[in-house]
Amino acid sequence: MQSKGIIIDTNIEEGFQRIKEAGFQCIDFSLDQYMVNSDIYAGKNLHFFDKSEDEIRDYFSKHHDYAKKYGLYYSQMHMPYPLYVYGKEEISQYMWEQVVPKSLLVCETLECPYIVVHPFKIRTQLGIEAEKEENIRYFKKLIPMLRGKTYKICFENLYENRNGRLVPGVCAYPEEAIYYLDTLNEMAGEECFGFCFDVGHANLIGMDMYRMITMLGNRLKVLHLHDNDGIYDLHQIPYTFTRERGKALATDWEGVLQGLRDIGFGGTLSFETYPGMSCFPERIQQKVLELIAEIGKEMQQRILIFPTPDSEVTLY
Amino acid sequence: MKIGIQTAGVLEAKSVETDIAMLKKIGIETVELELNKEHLSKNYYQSLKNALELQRITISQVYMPALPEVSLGGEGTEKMLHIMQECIELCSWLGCPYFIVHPFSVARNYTDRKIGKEQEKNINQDFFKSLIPFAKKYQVMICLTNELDNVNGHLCMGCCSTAQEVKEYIDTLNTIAGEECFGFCLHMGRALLLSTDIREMLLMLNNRVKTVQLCENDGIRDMAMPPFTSYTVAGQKYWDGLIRGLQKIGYEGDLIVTVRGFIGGIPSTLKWDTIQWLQKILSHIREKVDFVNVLQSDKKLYLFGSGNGFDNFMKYYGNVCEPMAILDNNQAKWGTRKNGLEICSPQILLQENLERIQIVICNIFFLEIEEQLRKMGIENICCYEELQAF
Repeated sequence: MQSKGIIIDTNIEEGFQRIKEAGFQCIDFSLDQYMVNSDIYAGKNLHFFDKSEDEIRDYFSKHHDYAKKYGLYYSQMHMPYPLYVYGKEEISQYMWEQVVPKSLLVCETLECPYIVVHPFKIRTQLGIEAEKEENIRYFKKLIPMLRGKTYKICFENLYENRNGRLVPGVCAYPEEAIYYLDTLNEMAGEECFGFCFDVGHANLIGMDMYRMITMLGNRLKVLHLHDNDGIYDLHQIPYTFTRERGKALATDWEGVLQGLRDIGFGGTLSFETYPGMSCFPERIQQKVLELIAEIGKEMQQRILIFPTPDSEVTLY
Repeated sequence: MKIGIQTAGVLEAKSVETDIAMLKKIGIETVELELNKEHLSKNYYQSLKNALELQRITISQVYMPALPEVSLGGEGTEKMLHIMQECIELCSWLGCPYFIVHPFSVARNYTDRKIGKEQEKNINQDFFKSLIPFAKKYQVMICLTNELDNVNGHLCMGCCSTAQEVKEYIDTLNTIAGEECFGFCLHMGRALLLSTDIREMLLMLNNRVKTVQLCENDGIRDMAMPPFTSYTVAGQKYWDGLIRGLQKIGYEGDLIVTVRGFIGGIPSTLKWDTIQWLQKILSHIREKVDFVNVLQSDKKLYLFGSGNGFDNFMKYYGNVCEPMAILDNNQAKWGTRKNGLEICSPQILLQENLERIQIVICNIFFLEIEEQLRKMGIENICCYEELQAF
């Protein structure tokens, strides 16, 4: 489960307790809460990542220790985003020079295997080819920080907003995602980059879920599971959207689960559903978390019904 | 490149001759004929054929809507094949080169999606392979169109909705046929529902694109509205993508607007005014697609305007033409240079043979400038609208 809105630093232990009691085993750590996207787009810097490496390790040591105390582990985390804002060089520089390396340090401190990043979104300003070149150019520079490490960077499929309409963005299509990952991993000489499949983002562009997941294959390392109406990025609870009353689901969850099954996905079923929880009255939010955990167990069963011979059974 | 409209909702059986005469009068040059599986005899279409020939309006493409009521498998497949074969023969008799059909999006009908995907490919390949002898016999090209899959009301990717899949299908079938029997019909509305990068799709498919069906929608429902009418379609960017893509691939087909539902909703007294408006929209799109040919004609090219419009023009077309100079009404700019071109007074045109020059107006005050140029006796004028990057 996404830690956003649950693990709060002013009362940190309670968040871990809630996640555990709801029935989850893993945490998707929302490091992006320490430098939120609206601030970055505005060029506003709250300087959290000015901390030295030792200060960073020290700050997140309690996050590491409480997770252990409650028998939880970090399956993935989310780097602050965006990493680059077109026309705002100062904040972009800060992201590259401070936020990225220190985020990787947090990943190491929490013993987390995957950190999800948003590749640069600059196709509106410069075109798709220039966007590809810039992303390769930049992420290639991170390879020395990734080689031989216990963590990998995972690109996520994104969208863009065109006059209120959400349209495909960087890595929205499997062919483009595969191009990025294979190119960078070949440059690295080892697998330093993987993929985070965001079901909600894919749903916004009518993606064939099964096709995308099976094309990605073992490049797919982590998931962002959430639902929406196919129009807006609502991050709601899976299985909650139809287009007509009484009719079946308008999101192809069956395609998602069969795709995961057929690629032998052994990773974590991770829910990015903070808005889905937070729209409920606070008093019953814990029950919502429990429901999401139950949904995860159901999904796990659906994936395991016909396991492929080599897949490992990994509880979420 | 002809401009046209679908016959469904436009031509009425009881007044087909007068309707076709009206189309001609309005400036419609070609039509897409939508077939009805209940009426596949030549007799049924004889009067239509005669009227179109009389008015010298061609049939650009023949379209058979999807037949969800005919289930594939066994007798259903046989029935479907028979219908398609009749359509191909009819298409040829009508003098039409392209027959548009829907491939089958059936993957989600199977419990196991992997099997579903494989079966979808097999079903489509086997079905369309069966049509090859008829396509060859009647010299009709079968055009697959991009499909949607309806996930309980949510329209998602279906068969042939990605360029990669279209390429695979068409290339495989043409290899089996040993000649080009299959092409692609781009349905703009269905592509827009998936926010497809139209230009990229066209570039990838290149000369496999034989026909287009132009319409748009609200991004949620397949509504078949006229081009440029939906504010949610990210402004003009998608249509700019279509125009630039068709330019780049040297598209030689026709431009057909398919807005049957839209026409059906218009009061009958406004029908022909509406179709005339659609004709103007198509003329506009054709002018834009043809634009590169205008730039590369043997006439001397002058650009009018040295501001943002000029910058945008040079960004997208600077490498496909060789302007003589930039014209500008701002005297302060005369004698200066931009992008290696001298900025001059429009009066220099009077030194030229006016029939041998082409002016492209790159300025938002194109109406006033056009009037200015026409008063000078210049006829070859076109207006450039800034393209938007996508």
